[in-house]
Amino acid sequence: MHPKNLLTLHNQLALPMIPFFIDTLARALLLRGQLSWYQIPDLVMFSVTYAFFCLGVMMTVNPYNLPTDEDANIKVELVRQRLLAYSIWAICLGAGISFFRCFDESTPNTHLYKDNVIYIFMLVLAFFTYSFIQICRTLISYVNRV
Amino acid sequence: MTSEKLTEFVSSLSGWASIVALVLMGGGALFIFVLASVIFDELKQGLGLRGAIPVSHKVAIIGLPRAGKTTLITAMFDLIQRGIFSQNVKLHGAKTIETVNRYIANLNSGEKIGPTSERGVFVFRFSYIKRLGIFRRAFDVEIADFPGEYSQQLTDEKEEFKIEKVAPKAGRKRAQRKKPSSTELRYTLLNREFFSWIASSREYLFIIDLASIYSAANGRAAVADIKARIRTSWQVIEDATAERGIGSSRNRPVRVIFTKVDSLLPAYESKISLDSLLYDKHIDESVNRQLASNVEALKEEIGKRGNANDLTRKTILQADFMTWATSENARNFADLHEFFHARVRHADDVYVSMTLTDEDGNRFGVKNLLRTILP
Repeated sequence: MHPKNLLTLHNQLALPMIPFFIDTLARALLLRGQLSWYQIPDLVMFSVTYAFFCLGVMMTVNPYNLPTDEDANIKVELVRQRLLAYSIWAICLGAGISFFRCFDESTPNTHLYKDNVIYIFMLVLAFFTYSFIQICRTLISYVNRV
Repeated sequence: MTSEKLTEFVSSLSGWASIVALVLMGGGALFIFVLASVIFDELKQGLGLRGAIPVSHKVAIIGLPRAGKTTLITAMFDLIQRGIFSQNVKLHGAKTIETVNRYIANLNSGEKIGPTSERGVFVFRFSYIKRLGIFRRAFDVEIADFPGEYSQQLTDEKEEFKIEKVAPKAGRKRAQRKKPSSTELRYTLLNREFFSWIASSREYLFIIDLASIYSAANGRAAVADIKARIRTSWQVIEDATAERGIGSSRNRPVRVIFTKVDSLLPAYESKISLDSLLYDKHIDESVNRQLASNVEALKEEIGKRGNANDLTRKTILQADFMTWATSENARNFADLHEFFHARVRHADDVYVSMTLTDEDGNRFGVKNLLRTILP
């Protein structure tokens, strides 16, 4: 591949997700058999890296300076705000999961995290797929107004 | 309880089988959620709920000065406003509404729509809702009207312009950027707003003025020149897209628009092929003096029609004429056709005329063009 193609925007946007994949792979390979299935993908790490991905997309959506009506950039601003909202939601989700895990670890007898982890996974997956579908189907069309 | 059962099931599997089972279950859950998200998104758009953001669709129009870019945009908006393409069209912004209506009035009254000046650059915006059964999707379309000189700068094959700082003179506080001369433009456009807009467009229209080509003193040179300019433009766009864009330039449709087809009517009526207009230097005047003088007169007539200010609809399209014009002209642009078909998934030739009308009474080719460029 030509070096220039390696620096395309979609590669740059995927960069924040790399720590999550490395972390998951390392847990799956190195700690195989020592961890339960729900401990392999770290949801906190995932939420935080996804938040950075959303911020990365947001940074590439810029209003342009071509002469047009004053309200032309309202939609661009709306898209940026939507992406920022996804990012904040992802951070909040990560913080919530982290807090939940702390609570579980402080009261180990309750098995709070272990018993409810499937619902947390569903919640994270639902948020991720919905926001990612929104980005891919609609918001991505506003990208690259550099 | 579900978590416990799942944990038990995964624990019962040995080694790699547990990882494979986890990946499969995760993939299955992801698939279900993706499906649910798409259905929810479609329903949200379909019900017109608040917060649904339309898909942005930018159309770049590239052509030489006076090729008819502004007139074409105006003719498109004439149809868009009348709801020919879609009933759910809204123009956005007071300036867009005012400019569009002023231009349409000029076009229909036979007044000249002047060439776009650098200060006259404007992005026309409209949105529409496309219905697919019970589903519907909103699109926000932007068409930029740039002066032809900007498009020409895109293709000027001159030495690469480098931004130079001129040393500050006494009394001046800051260093000034050296103003680029017309011979020093090429890659500077990558940094200009216009080029950035073009590089991130989703649809490209290359405008070729048939009247200027077939009325040129050296027609062959004019054809070769416009083809070279279009090829260069596309290669520059390809290069820029690879560098900065999301998605490949291969997926961006290209339409080669041949404007002012009506100007070729005199050639059709006098049964002189378009090749004769291009290769007139090869006509031996001593042998065929009549043909040589006819070709000269024809070129003059084509040039006059191409520069006509009155673009009111007056001529009914002759089907035979269009068949003749497209087949005659296609031969001269066959290599450009092959060039685009090798590079992009969707490439079309579209013929338009402001004075000829189609069977519905609309300006010829504009409705077809709208149908192809709008998502």
